[in-house]
Formats: sequence, structure tokens, C-alpha cells
Amino acid sequence: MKNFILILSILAFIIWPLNFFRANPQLNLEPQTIFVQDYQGRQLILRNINLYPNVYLARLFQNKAVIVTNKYFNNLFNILDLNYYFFGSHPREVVGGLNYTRLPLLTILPILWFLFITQHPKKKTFLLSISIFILIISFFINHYVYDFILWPFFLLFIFYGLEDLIKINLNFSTIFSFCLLIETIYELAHLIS
Amino acid sequence: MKKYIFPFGLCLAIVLGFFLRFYKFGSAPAGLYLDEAGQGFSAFSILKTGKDEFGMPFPAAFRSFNDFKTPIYIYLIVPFIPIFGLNTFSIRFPSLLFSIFSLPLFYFLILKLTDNSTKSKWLALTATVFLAISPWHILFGRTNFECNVALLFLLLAYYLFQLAIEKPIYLVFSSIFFSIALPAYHSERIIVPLIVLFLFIKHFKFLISTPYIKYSILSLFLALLISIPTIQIIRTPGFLARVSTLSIFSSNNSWGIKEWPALYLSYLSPRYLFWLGDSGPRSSFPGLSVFYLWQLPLYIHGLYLLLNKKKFPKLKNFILLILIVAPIPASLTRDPFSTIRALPLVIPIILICSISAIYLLEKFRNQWVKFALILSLLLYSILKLYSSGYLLNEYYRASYWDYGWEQVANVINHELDPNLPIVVDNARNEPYSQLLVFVKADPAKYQADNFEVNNQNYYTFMGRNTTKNIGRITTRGINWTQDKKIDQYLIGDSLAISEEQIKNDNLLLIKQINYPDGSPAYRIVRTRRK
Repeated sequence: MKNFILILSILAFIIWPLNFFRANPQLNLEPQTIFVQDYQGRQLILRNINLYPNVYLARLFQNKAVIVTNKYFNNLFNILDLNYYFFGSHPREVVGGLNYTRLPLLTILPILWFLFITQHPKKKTFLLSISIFILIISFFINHYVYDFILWPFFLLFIFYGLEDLIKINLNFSTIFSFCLLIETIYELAHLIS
Repeated sequence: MKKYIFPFGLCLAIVLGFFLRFYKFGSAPAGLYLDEAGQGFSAFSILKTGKDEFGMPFPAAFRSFNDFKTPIYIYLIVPFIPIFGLNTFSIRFPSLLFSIFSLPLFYFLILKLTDNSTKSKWLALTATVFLAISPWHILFGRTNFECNVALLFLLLAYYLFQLAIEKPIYLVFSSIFFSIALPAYHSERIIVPLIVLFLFIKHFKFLISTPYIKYSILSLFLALLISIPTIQIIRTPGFLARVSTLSIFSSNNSWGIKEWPALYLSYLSPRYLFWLGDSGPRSSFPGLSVFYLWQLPLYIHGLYLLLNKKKFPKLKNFILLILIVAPIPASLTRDPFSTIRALPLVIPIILICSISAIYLLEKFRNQWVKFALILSLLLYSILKLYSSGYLLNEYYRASYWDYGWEQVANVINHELDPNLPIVVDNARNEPYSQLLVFVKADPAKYQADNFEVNNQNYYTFMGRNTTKNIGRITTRGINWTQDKKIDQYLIGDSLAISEEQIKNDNLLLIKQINYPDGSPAYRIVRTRRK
């Protein structure tokens, strides 16, 4: 069973790189950070400052740092969004072919199960490591090129999540694993065709 | 002394909540959106004539533009018009009232779902404070949105059901409020039946037990009785108008079941809850999401605690139930993250954050550090709300709130020649409902002058007249070839009446009303100079 879930996890996981290369046939790995000059952002801050009754309050919410932190949080929240992995972001955000599905939808269960329920001895290390990587790649505007670094972590989450699910309820997990297998094969067939 | 901490804390939370909702209430957001104005005049018409502006006596759903409005909020406005007059304040007042009432109700509901211990009281107090400062709850508590009223009825019904577990008579009251919540807002048409179904399955044994059975039957009877007006129109095009235009499964939408999980997930996504918020300009504040950024770690940690700790099982059930059910109706519509349709979601997410906050605060040994931290976060949140909700919102969002029609009506009432006709352009917006409110039109005369549909076809005929007559005011598109030949006033936005048009046609600019950012909102001109 362990071998089966390992193969299934890897199979489910192939979708990410396949979709990635399909969406980005010409890879541009040149980093674009959030620290680029933003003239419009500065102008907006200057305009907003005039709306406040005093300069202290204005400086609290309208300062140059806000331009950078806003971009950082934009990236960070994008990476934290489950839609980013399972649907290529929200249906209304399909832009320029970069919104590709990274994982089959059904893997959401083992991933969330691992994140919130599973008591694994290395869970804290995994979470700490993935958090550091997420915090780093959020500095890049083109983070969708670098999110590949999260790839092995998700593989582990799926694997350990499935493993834990099997321990708790074998029947449910077997049915679920076959459903996941069917979905993965469908996605792969869809990709190849 | 210690026993007064919680009542005192609750009072403080209510005062804070009241202050944040009442500050500049009625004047911020500046303007009165057409749906708000439409509901306000419907209420005024019911008060004066017993019929809505289309001549229908006490409708079960109010005809309005291209859809139908839920009735509860409109009937709630009626008693406040004689007190405060027909104005923005009275139209938004039920929302304010119900928003404030939600705070103590939320506190007592949490106590009921927990064990009444000191820890549960701290949890209830924290959650109430979070609700009091919640941008999501405040926004809908300051403006005319039915969802806020529906949420209170929903919470009240759930609370009464919890009381019914001890005293069966409360089952009757619970069913009454569930039945009122059902037609109070479109989302509740899905949420309420799902919650009732859950409660019925979970408590089936005691609901059919000897002491409860007569109350269960009475509750069912009353629920059906209250729902009769809704049931009667349930299959009409009017009742289904919202579904047919907004649903992802409707024929005019290219989305379907494949997109639904993505839409559903967005309602639980930290990205939307703590960063992006609602993209609708009237259902969000600029630069502020529906929760504060500092609440994000609490949400993630709280979710972990909720799923792993076994304390307060009733509360856990309640949180998970609302968390799962609340996004369903909103996710069936095509909008990215509709906070109006998913308002009940504010309750479980605040509870999740509160569970984490209580857990983390227990870790602090030093009371002063704890106090300073709480005070700093509260102060920051209030200032952020002031910045986004009152300063930026007023400046950037005035046009979305249809700012300017009150000023236009003042000019009509006091500065224009009362013998000349007025044409108000409606090419891009429908200002007739705002004009009805601000010129305080006589509902009986308006009904007589503007026949649109007879009572038999009220819920089925979906056509509408775009030309409206309000005394000497007519709202329609300006026909420049014809209209400039007649001595009359023309009113329109800066596109309808441009500066070039005024110059070329030798029009007399009577008044220009500007938005708070200085850009022109509306122009009032006279076609032929004397």
C-alpha cells in the first residue's frame, strides 16, 4: 500500500511540472523583485497623504514602505491561496496562460489533512522549511517561476497525508486513492492530448 | 469585583461597536445608492398608501429595477420614517440597529454553546470585540444591506434553538425567527434550510420525544404559516430573478460545476479574507480587507486548534456548520468574493480567530504586556478603519455610492423655476429612486403617473418602463435635437452634459455638483436663456 501511495503521489505530482513547461515554453528566470522603482505608487501615496487630518496618521498608513509591503503581501497571499495550486487562481483571474493547475483537486484532502491533523515527527521541520521558502519567493514579482521550490514539500504532504488517512480508515482511503488515481490519469491524458 | 469584568467588558464592546458604526452614520458613505433609495421609497410608499410604488399592496418581494428585493428590510424601514423622516439616515437605520444587536446576541450565543466557564466567557468577550471592530460587519452595519438583518435573525434563531434544548417552548420562537430569516436575504434561502436540516438530523430524537413533539408540530405549522407569502411566489420569474442572472449555472453564464470548487475555496482563502477582500466598491473599504492583517496568524492557528482540540464540541459543530454552509450561496454566483452574500461567514472566522487569541493570550504571563498588546491592536484597527473606511472611502468611492443626487434635489427644490419642466438623463444610471427620496415625492401621485404592471402580473412581468415621471421631473435619455428647443432644465452627468455641449448649444449652467475628489458629478443647465 505504501508503494501504491508513493506512486500515486508522484503521479499526481507530475501535473505540476508538465503544466508549468506547457504554460512557460520560454523560461525567463531573470528575477524581478518587489524593490523596483514605482513612480505611480509614490504619486498615489502623495495624493493620499493630503486626505488625512494630520501628518502622523498619514505617515502611519501612507509611506514609501507601504509600496513594497503591499507588493510583498500580494505575492505572499497569492502563494498561500489554495486556488493557486488547484485551479490556477480564481476563474476571474485567468491571465496570459500563467494560471495553470499545479495539483489535482483531490490532493487537497491529503494536503489539508497533513497540515491540520497529522501528527508527524518531522511536521514542524517541513512547515518551517516551506514557510521560509514561501517568505523568500514572495520577494519576487515573478514568483510563479520560482514556486517550483515548493514542489517536493507538496509531494511529502500528499504522501504523508495519504499515509495517515489510510491508518485511520482503510476503506475510505482506498476508494479515495482510486478516485485520485482516476483524476490524475484524466488530467495527464488531458495534458498529453 | 471579578464577576463584573465580563458584563463591563460586554458593555465596552457594545459601546465600541456602536461608536464605529454610528460615527458619521447617514453621511458616510456619502451618497445614497439606487438600491438603497429604491427600498427607502418603497417603505415610504407602504407607509403612506399601503402599497409599493407600483401599486402592489404589501408585496412578498419588492419589484425593483430588473430584479426583486427581499421584503423584510423594507418593512423594517417603515416605522423609522415617521421618526427620522425620509432620508439616508432612516433608510440605513435598521442595518445599524441590527448590527448593534448582533453584538450581545453573539456573546450570549457563544456562552450557550460553551460551558459558561471563565475561559468561555473570555472567548465570548474576545469574539464580541472582534465582531465590534470587524470591517466586514461594520460596512454592512452602516449601509442599507439586507444581509445584516438576515444574519441577526439567523443567529437569534440558532440561539433560541439552543435554549429549546432546555425549555421546549423556545422551539416555537426559534422556528419563527428561522422563518423570518429565510426571506430576509437571498443567501438565507439556501443557508437556513441547510442549518435547519442539520439541527433536525442532529436533534431528531429529542424533537420527536414526548415533551417536545407538540412544540415541534406547532413550530412546523408556524414556520409554514410565516412562509406562505414566500411559497406562493417561489416559482415566479420575479422570485427567481436573482438566481437567473447571477447563478454560475444559468444559461447566460459560461461557468459551471468545474469552476464551483474554485469559487467556494476563495471564501475560505486567506488571500481574500485578509488581503484582497471584496472587489465591489460598495462592499469593501479601500486598502482594507474584510479582516485585519494581524488576524491572519490567528485564523491559521485557530483552524489548527479547532480541528485538533476536543473542547467545546457544540461550539465546534456550530463553527464548522456555518463555515461550510455560509459560502455555498455566494459561491454559486459568478462574483469573485461577494462579502454581501457570504456575510454569515464572518461569524465562524471570528470565532476561529478568537479561539487562537485566547490560547495565545494565556501564554503571556505578564499582564501589562498582554494589556499593551491588546490595546495596540485595538488602536491600530480603529485607526486603520478610520483611514480606509472614512477617509479613503469617501474620497475614492463617492461615485459608486451615487453621490450628488441629494444636492441635485436641493437645487431642484430651492433654486429652479417651479414652472419649468426638468429632464434628468438616465442613460448611464437610474436616478429616479434617489430623486423620489430627496424631493420627497407623493407616493400616491407617483403610482398614478407611472403605471408599469397590474397586480396580477406583478411577480411575472419582467419588463419595465425606463421613463419615470415625478411631478414636473422626467427621467429619460436626453434627446438633444428636441430637448434644446424647449425652455426647460436638463440634468445629467459630465458625459451627458459636457462643457462643449454647454458652449455649443448656448446652455446656461445653473449648478455643477462635484464629487469629493473635485471631479464633476452632475450638471444642471437651462436650455434657453431668458
